[in-house]
Amino acid sequence: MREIRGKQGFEAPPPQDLENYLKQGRKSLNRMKEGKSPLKFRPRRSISVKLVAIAVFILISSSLFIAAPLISLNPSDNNSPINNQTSTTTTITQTTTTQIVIINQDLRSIMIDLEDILIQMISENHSLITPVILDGTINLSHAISEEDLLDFIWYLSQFDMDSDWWKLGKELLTERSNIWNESTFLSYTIPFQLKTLRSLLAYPSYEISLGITDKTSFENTCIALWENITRTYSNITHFIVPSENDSIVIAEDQIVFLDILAQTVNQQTLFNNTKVKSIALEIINKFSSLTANGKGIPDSFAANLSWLSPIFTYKDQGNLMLSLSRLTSLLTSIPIIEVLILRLSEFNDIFLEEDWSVSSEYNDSSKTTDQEYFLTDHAIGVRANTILDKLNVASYIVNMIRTKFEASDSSYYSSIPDHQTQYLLDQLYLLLSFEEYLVLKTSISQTGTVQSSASFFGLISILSLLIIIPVKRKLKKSPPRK
Amino acid sequence: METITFHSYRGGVGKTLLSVNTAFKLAELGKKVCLVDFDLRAPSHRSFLFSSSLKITPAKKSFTAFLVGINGPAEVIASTDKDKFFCVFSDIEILQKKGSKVRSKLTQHSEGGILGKLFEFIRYCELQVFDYLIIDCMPGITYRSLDAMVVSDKVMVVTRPVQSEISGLSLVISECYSKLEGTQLFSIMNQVENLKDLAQPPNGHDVNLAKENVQNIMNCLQTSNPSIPLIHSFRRIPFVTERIYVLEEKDHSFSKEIEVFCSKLVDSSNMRDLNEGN
Repeated sequence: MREIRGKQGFEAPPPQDLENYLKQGRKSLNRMKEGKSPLKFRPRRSISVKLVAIAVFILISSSLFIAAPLISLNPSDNNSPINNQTSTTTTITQTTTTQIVIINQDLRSIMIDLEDILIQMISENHSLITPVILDGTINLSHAISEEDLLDFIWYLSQFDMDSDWWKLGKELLTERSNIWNESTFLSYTIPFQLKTLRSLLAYPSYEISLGITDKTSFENTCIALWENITRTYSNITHFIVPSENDSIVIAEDQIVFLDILAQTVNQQTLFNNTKVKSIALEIINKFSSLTANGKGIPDSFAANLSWLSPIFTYKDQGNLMLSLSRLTSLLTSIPIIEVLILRLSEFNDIFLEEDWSVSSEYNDSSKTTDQEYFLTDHAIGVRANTILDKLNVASYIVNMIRTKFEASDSSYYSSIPDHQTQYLLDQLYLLLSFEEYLVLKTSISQTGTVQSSASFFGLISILSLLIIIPVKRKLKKSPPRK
Repeated sequence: METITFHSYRGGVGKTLLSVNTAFKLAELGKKVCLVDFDLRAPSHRSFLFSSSLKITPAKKSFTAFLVGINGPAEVIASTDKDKFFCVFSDIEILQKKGSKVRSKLTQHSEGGILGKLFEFIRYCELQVFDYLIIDCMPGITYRSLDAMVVSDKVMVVTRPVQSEISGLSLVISECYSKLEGTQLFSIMNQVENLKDLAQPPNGHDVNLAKENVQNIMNCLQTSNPSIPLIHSFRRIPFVTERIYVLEEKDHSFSKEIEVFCSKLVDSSNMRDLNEGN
């Protein structure tokens, strides 16, 4: 074995770690493609007793000092992140700090409720996805449509890798891939084809285990959709003006197309990377031209702030932010992000002033652009602000949703039989936004904890070394006994 | 861009010769290629290439320096008078001069750091619109060779049909190759004896042994899970030297075989499966 293992200083992972090293390496690679840092690999090695003893000594000594600061650093009512808002929102801070209570426990209990609802709806046999037999007859209203199933998979793919929800999406894509073929999809409208392709590319090819026939069919469908979409895209004359002509893509569709471009990394053998990048840059440049003053975004806002323009609503901008964050795996720098961040900040201030009107009744039109902001619009707001590390704004929106949950109570959770799939998708999207928000919140809390406790830990370590080193030197210098 | 790593269970199978000639031939076929000497233990590309007729404009720093974070990727790529052929050299000076932290970063697991640097380099090459990144990594199972295989789109497993290769190859397949995900594996059999190349005909026993070795290697590759398709077999070159045959001896049989091999590589970039040609 020695001849194949590392020698001359170049080490190899021990056999029990090798598979883990390869798996972590692959995961790290995927993380880096998403713009995240690689995972840290730590082999299973035995540590010398001496090191263990020193580590335990330092740990016990410092734990007494760490405990006190930990309490004061926990987020509490009086220490709400809202207090840290920028000067542009100080008026809001003054009126809302007493009202806004960010308690992780409440949010987690809402998330548990959300998960229960979702699990109940899909059940072990995915009852929402296959027709359900009720009282001896098949109730097709409970069957999810292909479009909604694909959206469902797309949302699931955005959960943390290897989480149960993420795995569910992978499972659905694998087991249902045989029902999707190009001849069906090519008859649909371009916006539908865009969303379809995005969902088909949601998971890396190596995660979807298909037989040769199914795999070929699946890949052919992806390629056929891609070719049709890019052909249509190259023929469009208007960029974002909504039109009755389905071949002209609107802003929302362009954003879905950006998602597709980002997801092509999951099927690298099917797509020409150079072409994908050039298309992405072209779309981004067009969006950049829109963000210039006077185009698409009005300079002043109407009294009714429910939507800014029919062209580039807040929801579109939020979705664009999310799409661009995915594109960082493809392109290293995207200047438009800075512009969007600035605009988002401006919009946030205005919407905070207007207290983000929320529909008091949940209905099936929450996906449509309308005068009022619906649940998914708020969820998009949470996600967009989360990826920008704007914890204060994300917290505000989360709390808004949380209080609305509690106010609506049973009417919010009541099932609407004819619109269950809509309900399913929006609840899932909301859960996703909460998950991402909590990850940000936890990491910021931990950073604060680590920063202040690190100083005490360092102090104890230095003190320990100051004791150990002189003692060792003294022992060395002491003359030998005759 | 496609990243291809040449790997072998042990040294001396002809990995460097193959990777250098392949990279150069791909450049001759019009592809923009970057060749990386990732054998940090025994880097040999510098002597290989500088002894050829290729004119090389040296880079400011070595790849080893980039891996330990001394400089950026742009400073390690050397250009040549072949306008689509670029090379990246490693050296062992850093290992010899610097302190233990640098050594351990390069020789040990590095907590994902070297993998991150490889990824950064690949991203840089993609932005420079390279068509191929060819990585010649150190043989055997080491953290660095595993890193190279993980980041690659394809791994070319270079083997020699000798008896001592068989057990080692089986071990590497079961311990390493079978656990690689997201990377396509192909094998190259190098230094296959050809009766026509021999000055004197061998005895029957040796001929049978040679055939048996080839068959055993093939079985090893085909029965592995997943199986590793044989993409090409190269004949043994008598009196082989470290040369860019495709540059210095275009009519040499090895150059012709490299050309066939590269055509398969180029075709496979547009295809999904790679078939055995021999």
